[in-house]
Amino acid sequence: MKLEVNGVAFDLELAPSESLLDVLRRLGFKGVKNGCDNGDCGACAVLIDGRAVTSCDYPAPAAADTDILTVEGLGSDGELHPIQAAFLDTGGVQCGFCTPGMMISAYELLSHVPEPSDGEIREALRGNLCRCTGYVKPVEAVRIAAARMREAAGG
Amino acid sequence: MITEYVRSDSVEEAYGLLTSLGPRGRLMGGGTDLSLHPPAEVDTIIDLSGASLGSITLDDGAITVGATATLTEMLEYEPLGAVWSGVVHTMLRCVASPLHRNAASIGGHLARGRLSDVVPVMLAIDASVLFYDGAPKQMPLREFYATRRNRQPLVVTGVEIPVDGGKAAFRKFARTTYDLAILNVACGIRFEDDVVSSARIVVGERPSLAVELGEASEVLIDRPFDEELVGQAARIARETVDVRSDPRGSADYRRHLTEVLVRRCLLEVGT
Repeated sequence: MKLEVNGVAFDLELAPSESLLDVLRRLGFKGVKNGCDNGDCGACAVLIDGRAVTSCDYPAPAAADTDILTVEGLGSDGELHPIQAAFLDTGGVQCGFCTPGMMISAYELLSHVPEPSDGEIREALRGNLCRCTGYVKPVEAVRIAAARMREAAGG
Repeated sequence: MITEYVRSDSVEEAYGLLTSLGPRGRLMGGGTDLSLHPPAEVDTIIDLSGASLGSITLDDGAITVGATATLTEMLEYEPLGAVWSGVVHTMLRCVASPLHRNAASIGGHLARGRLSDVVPVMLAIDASVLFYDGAPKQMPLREFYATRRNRQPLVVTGVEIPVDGGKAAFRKFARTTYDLAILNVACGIRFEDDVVSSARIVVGERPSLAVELGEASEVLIDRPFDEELVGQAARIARETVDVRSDPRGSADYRRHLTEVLVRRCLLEVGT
């Protein structure tokens, strides 16, 4: 079966029962975290054709012929994506386990809503559980990332 | 144990596979539930994502949502937010998180029936289920469950929502904002000259499959819709609802929730 992850095609064998989470980690995408393996915590979120989903309850064969984007694919040429930079700048990263999933949810939000309200940010992150930050700093990070991305886009 | 995964190109092919495999085969919409909890007897997943069932259309006084449309796609379809007091969108925002709504399909919800905020709302607003069992069929969703037709081998292909000016409301009570409901209530009411002409009060997560409360619904018909009548209907709802205990809540607690949520739904519709 073929999977396309962060623009790179992988040809691989997989069991029909495997989750996308297990396959991505097997391929070396360790930024995709296994938090609960039960669809509850959002640490395993990835984008499939631009939509953020939990990969632990996503059957790997269903991801054939889609574009998968993991946290490893957010930045480019050694540069952090503005969302990643903003999480670092604000202290939105503490233990870091939920961070990749949060960034994936934030990425989907900002691709549709360039200037989100705090309510929209919280709604977008509601599937990503964090036990460290209390959510205030991640929300601030997304707000700052949005502003920087608008500025970079000339708006 | 899942040993085969088949992506089906058409409803006819999926139905053929399903009937030849019997209990060993299981249809998949978004897969959020099936991938975590595959029944022991199932060895083959039949993925419907290639069967061209994902469209959402508005015509002839109804909105038709294809079975593999995701809950997010329903939320983004504006005409759905403009009918029945916007109750479908209100309810969808209460379902899990965007991470699940981006994958979970409406067909999967209707086929499973239980553990759903979607089903009570669809029952309250007179939705019909579209399915294929050798030929395309349509039937009121309530009949689909009441006659246990949903247990027969068939492919749910969509849901049809009438667009006729009824009012509706939905309330969910859960421990956290995206947890499964301890209990949920939906109501769909049609008025003629400020008098109720038809009413459906539906209670879900009892924790069994959602049901309409006939007596509590009927008391509203042809009576002045005021707080006293709402209180009466809510009390009847509490007295007649069939609930049981499970780890999410006791039967007594669910009876209490039924009265409170029915009252809140009806008051919202009446304002």
